[in-house]
Amino acid sequence: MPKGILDITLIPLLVMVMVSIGNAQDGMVAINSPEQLVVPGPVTTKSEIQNRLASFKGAIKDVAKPLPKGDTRQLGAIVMLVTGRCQWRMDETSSWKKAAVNDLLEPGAFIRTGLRSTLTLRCGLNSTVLVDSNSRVQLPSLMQDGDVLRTIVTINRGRADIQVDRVGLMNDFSVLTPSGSLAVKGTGMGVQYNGFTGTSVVGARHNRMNAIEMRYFMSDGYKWLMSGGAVSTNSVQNPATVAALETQPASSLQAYEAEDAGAFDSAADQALAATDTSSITTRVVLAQQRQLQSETLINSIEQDVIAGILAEQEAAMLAAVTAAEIMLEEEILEEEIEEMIEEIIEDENNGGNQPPQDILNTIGYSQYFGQMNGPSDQGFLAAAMALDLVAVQDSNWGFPVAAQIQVNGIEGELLYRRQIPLKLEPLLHALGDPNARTLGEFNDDQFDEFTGVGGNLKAFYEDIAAFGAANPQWYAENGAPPNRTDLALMVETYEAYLNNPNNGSINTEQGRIAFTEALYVLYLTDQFNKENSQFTPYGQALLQQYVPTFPAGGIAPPPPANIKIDR
Amino acid sequence: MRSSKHVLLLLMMFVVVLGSGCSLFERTTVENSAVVQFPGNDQDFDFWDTLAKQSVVTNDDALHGLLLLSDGSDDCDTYECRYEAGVAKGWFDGSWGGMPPANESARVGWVAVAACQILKIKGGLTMRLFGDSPRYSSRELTFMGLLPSLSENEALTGLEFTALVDNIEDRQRLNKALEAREKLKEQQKKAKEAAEAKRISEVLTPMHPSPIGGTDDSNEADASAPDQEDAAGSDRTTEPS
Repeated sequence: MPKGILDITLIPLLVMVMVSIGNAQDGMVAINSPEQLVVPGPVTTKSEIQNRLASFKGAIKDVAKPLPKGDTRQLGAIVMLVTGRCQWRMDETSSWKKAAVNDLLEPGAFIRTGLRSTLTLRCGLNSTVLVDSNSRVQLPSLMQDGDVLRTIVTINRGRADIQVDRVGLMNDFSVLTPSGSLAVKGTGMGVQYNGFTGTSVVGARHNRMNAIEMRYFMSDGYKWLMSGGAVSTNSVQNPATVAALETQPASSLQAYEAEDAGAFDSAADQALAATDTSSITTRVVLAQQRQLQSETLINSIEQDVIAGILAEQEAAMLAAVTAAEIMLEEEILEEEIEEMIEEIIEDENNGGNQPPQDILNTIGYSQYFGQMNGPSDQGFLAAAMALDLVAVQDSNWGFPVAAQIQVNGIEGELLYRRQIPLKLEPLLHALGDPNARTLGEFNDDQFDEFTGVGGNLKAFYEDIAAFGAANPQWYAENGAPPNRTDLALMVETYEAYLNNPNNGSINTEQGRIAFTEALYVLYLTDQFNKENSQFTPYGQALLQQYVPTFPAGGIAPPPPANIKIDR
Repeated sequence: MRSSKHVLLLLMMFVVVLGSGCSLFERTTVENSAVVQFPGNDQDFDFWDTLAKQSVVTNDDALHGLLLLSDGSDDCDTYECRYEAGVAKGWFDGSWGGMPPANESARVGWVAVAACQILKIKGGLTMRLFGDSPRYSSRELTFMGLLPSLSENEALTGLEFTALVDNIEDRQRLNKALEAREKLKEQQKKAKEAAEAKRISEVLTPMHPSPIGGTDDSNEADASAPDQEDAAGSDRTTEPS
């Protein structure tokens, strides 16, 4: 709904105001007469307040005009608010009368208030007086003398707060107490007289008086209607009207008022901004209403924004959930496929095989391989095994491997290769392997051609050699060196040989130990300190001659004598 | 040395005898005081007006005025009744000698105790330790600016007593304003916390209770099958038909 002076709901009110103005120009209307036009309903909207203030504004301009010099007129005071028990009387001989809102007091009136009681009245055209509790106050003089508004307030006991407005005329406002007299020069002050301090001046409660003024003029009980050039009815003047708006004040030096002055969009706004005390209070009220509306609007927008964000988040979450579900289904499918492939591989591998990396840690192997000095030694041991078992001329190898190897550190010592079978087969034979030869069947004076070796064992030897042939990078400059996995695959080949049922009833663990015992010809392990484990001179000679990545090693100590096959 | 002591003792006895004979230690009395003239509750204006013109405030006047201040009315017809009411309120704590004469000038001490009781002043260390006493209550009121620097045995004029009553009333207004401000602060704090909690709950709630573009159909669908219709409701939110 649009806010402002053109609010459609105010059209009836404006019509009534116009009608009342027309009637007032014809003749004044008496107070409390049936003809009196009452502004209906409480003031609740900004535009209605503005309309009222604008009408007051136009009216007061005329009433506050100076009189010809020497002319005087008597003004009155009207009660704007009564709290508690307050009484007044016209003179010393009159009886006291209970004070009520809109009571009109004439000059010379006496006022008294009880405990916890206050009385607020508008005096003349330019002042508001708030009589505090348990006070006794008199209004000796309320008059306009030419262009001077003369007001005298006497405080016999208690306190009265006084606020004097600028109405375009000179203000002559005096306050009398039993012990002195004061003149109000500024906007106002509070004056009290009591038995302790005598006469004293305190700060006036301007905010309270402003609020009372606004409450009086904007309340439902307001029965005064200004019209044309009057601020009162023809019977009784209503000087309290002036409290609503003063006549045109001087230009304000306040920045915010100057800023407002440039933003008038109607005469009502201008009238509103041109007033001081009451309009400032109005400004505060309107600002509060505007702030409330703004907060409501902001809250509404905020709710909408939050709802929008939540909707977007909801949609994003839904899309993410959908995508996640799709990905999850794909992952589940992939996992199922992988599991199927693994199952197939396991089936092909006769099932139950340990991964290649783990076989070196199994019983029978771990006692030896676990004592090796690092994984690099394990890799080079794989290469040494291949170099030991390969034939002198193997078509799969790109180079011939000498039948005899010059062992470092032993002058003139030439050792025929295939030392592993020389150590392994007697042990396997002792364990019952029919493929293995006894020690007597070996001829140390020539290169072993595997004569008399069973087919399965010979196939194992050839597999190891083929594995070495399949990795030519081991023998190339800057090639990748052999690693632990290569050794594990070779041991896997031996494990396959052991599991062959045609090899007799060889105990698997003993067969493994026999294999590792045979490997001592290449690599010696120190069961007490792995760092002392190293390649034998024969193993070093093989590697130094054919594997460029193998670092030069020292001469191995004598082989330990306490290692037995049945351990 | 002995002779000088005797002289001093004789002088003291002379002063006591002379003082009592000349009414040196008697307090001022007022016949036909304000409360005697205007004892009714509806005569309070005249009571205060008359009291303000009295040279001293009697105990009866002070009790009547303080009862009007504290209770808003004085339902007693006699001074004894007013005294009992004052004793019941603790206004004579620390005083001794029993009920003072009605028409005798009121001591500042017990009036100060009454004022502290009305204002619920706890006082300083001495008052907290030993309770309300005429001496320290009057000193406390002096410290608070409600009473000039008077001893507890002095008397007040009618205008001074009226000023004290006004000061007490001003202090009551101030206390009310302070209480109101504290309550307002608490209300503002609670309202702010409630608004913040509501805001946080609305932000953190994934499904807003009243989403933009929500229709009655979505609510019905949510009510009928909330698990299945959540996604559908979200679709409608993002892709309104």
